[in-house]
Amino acid sequence: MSLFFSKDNKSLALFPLAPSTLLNHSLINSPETLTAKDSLPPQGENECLKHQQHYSQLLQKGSLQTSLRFENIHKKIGADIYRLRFFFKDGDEGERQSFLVYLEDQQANANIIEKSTYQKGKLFLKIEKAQGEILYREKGFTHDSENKNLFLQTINDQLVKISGPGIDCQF
Amino acid sequence: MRLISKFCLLVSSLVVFTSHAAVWEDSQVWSLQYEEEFSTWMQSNAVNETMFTNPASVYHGINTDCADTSYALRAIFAFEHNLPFFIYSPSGERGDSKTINNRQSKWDYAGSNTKRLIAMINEIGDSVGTENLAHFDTFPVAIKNISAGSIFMYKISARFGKFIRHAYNIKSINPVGTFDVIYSTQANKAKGLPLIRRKEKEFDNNPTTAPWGFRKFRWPDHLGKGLSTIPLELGPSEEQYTLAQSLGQIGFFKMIRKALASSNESATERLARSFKSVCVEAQARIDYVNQGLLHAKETSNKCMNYEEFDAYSTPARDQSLKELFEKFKAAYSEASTEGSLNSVSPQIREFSEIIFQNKTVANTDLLAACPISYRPGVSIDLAILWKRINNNLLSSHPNDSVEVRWGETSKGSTRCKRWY
Repeated sequence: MSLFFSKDNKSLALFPLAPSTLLNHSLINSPETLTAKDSLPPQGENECLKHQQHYSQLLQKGSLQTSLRFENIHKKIGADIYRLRFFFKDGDEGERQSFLVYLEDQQANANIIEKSTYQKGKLFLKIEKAQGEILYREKGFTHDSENKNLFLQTINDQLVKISGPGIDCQF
Repeated sequence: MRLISKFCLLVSSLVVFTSHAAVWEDSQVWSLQYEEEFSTWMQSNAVNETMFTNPASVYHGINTDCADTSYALRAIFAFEHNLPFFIYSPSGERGDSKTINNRQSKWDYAGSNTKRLIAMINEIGDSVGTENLAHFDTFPVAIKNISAGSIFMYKISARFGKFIRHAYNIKSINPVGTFDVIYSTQANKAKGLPLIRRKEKEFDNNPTTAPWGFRKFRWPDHLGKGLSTIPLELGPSEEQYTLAQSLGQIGFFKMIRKALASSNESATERLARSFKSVCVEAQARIDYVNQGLLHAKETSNKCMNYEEFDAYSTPARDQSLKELFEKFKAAYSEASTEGSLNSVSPQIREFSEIIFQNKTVANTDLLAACPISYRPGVSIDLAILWKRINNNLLSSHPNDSVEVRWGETSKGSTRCKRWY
């Protein structure tokens, strides 16, 4: 039995099975397939930094055509902290815009207090318009073009993730 | 008095302990062995269509759509095996709350640990869609690592700039390389219906780009990290995207089937499977058309607004049904071209000829083999249905009458707005 330590040594994964013998119906003989190692994005830190700079600039200038896929806003109003979440649920005939309002409790757990579909709910609109302090803003976008289909995530306007063909970067 | 004080102290400490209880305590860690067990569990009868709807099930009360079901199955397995369950926090990662996980005490109100689990799963279901699964909580796998417990997801363009996305959970892989899948949908969730099972599923939405296709759940330690941090033994790989692009849809899924099959599928088996798939989906249409008809009746057939139209119309599903027929036809044509029609069972061959070549064959009961009884007193066979579909006679508009919905007539078609 061999032991495998995860990168940060915080957990131990036991591999009583020899690697790559997990499946009975195992290896492909097809010449078209690539080895697993070959087919991970060849990402070095420098590559990721370049992507970060490039796409951060485009986002700041507003010159990257994107589609907003989700947004989370944490807003403090008086003593209360609300979270407004917009995202897409998956319908049988197509996606549906969904809007949630959470209220944080004393332990900073966020509990859903309003759910609405297709349009913002009354409470969502009320919290959105109310005076308060924005503590956190997270967005997820897609950028679709002929050459690339990218997913970008920002937290407080800082790019924290880019993924797509040949790109797998977290910052 | 001292005894009473001690008793009160004991009770109050118990109250304090239970009022901040985790959903469950994880004493185990994820490993290849546990992934193998997850795979075995997915194949077992423990994972079944009524596991959330049967009042006798301990998981009764869980209510899921497609992505929610994937999260639910993973959480239940982790719960039963004292494993950690962590997903990226859908509402944001400010401060300490970067994940939703089994160690949180926010569902204490629900009572027992099973009820806390159900509450957690339902809250996750309210907060996520397939994009959470795709971008944060799963990773793409190498073809050879596809197994029971893997998820297949796709995204396709629908009308007016919308997208349709879906997630299937692979319950097992059949010897011929098709999939036994279990899943749910938004419509299913709304009605509180059992999970949907398709035992011989062939996927046909080509995963030409990440983050779709075949995927597995990340371990807690791998959340928010690059693919290169995931152990190779778990099979992280983007090979399917390159292959899907170069092979095309038909070539890619043919390759998948070949890679995962342990036995060859004969022409008879393929045609029989195609026939069965078409039959199952054609009969399933009866239910969801009827849901629309019921709603129309309840609202005195008032023209449906966008939300109602979205809930009860069926253009995408009708298109899928048409594509299934076309796949069946292609299988028949291929068997004919290959010269293997003689090896196909006479009954299936006759059914195929009746449906696709308008042949009239004596003593063949296509209707009995697959009756589409869509309204009282009326039952049609697949040949009639195919003719109507092929001539674009079916209606997907939920304000249309049952006769119009099934292409029996176009007289009296609704004038209500077609939202898309």
